[in-house]
Amino acid sequence: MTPDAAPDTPPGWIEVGAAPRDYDNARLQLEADLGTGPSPASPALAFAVALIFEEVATNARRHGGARQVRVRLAHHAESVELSFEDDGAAFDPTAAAMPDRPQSLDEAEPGGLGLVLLRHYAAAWAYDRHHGVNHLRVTVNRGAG
Amino acid sequence: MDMSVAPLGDKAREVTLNGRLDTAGVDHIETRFNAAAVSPGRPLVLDLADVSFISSIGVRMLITAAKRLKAQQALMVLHVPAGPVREMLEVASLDSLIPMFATLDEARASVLQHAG
Repeated sequence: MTPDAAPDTPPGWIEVGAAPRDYDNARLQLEADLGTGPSPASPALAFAVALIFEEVATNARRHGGARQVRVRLAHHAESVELSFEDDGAAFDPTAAAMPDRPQSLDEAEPGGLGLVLLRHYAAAWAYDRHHGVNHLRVTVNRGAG
Repeated sequence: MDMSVAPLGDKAREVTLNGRLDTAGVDHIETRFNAAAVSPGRPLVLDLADVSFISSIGVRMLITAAKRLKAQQALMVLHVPAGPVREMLEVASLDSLIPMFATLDEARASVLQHAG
């Protein structure tokens, strides 16, 4: 696909644009999709979904150099599943080394915190790469929090 | 993301953030936040009670601010009531780096005591 081509987004997927407004639109669509579940989403679940979305999508663009990022939300009886696809550099967060937690402000360095958060909020996750595309599925329990 | 600034006693400041402290929120507020909250080098109460969401980039902004204030011998504390934002900050171990209080009165008292 050329950079100028219109996004060819499959049904059910939300394209995450690079511009702040596009990004916000994707976030709002994800919130709307979360609201279509079998029961209302708790504030903790909504927070977890928004956090996972932000960390994965931002990481794919900023660190992976992805030009296209898309996300899809699926409801299950006891959980919500977020699927991500991006065309950035290969990166398997499920296999990445976890950074040490800083014990003082002087030790605190930026970086790695997104992974700590993902690992906490994800009940399960799975990574795969096909044809130059990262696929990440993250499960969040509906009773999160 | 909105911000307001108020004096706290003679020496300290209180900064209130309102909105989402995500990538867009940090991009929007960071320059003004640093100018108002960090550059003066005054002890700071940062009120996050009306922050509805925070991501890792928001935590990084807080750590950077606390470090820069500490380098100027100024204490920074947070007011964060129970809720998803508080839980996230605890997952991020921020509570071991920056003092956090569930009430604004406790946060203010801590900074005023420290400011002498």
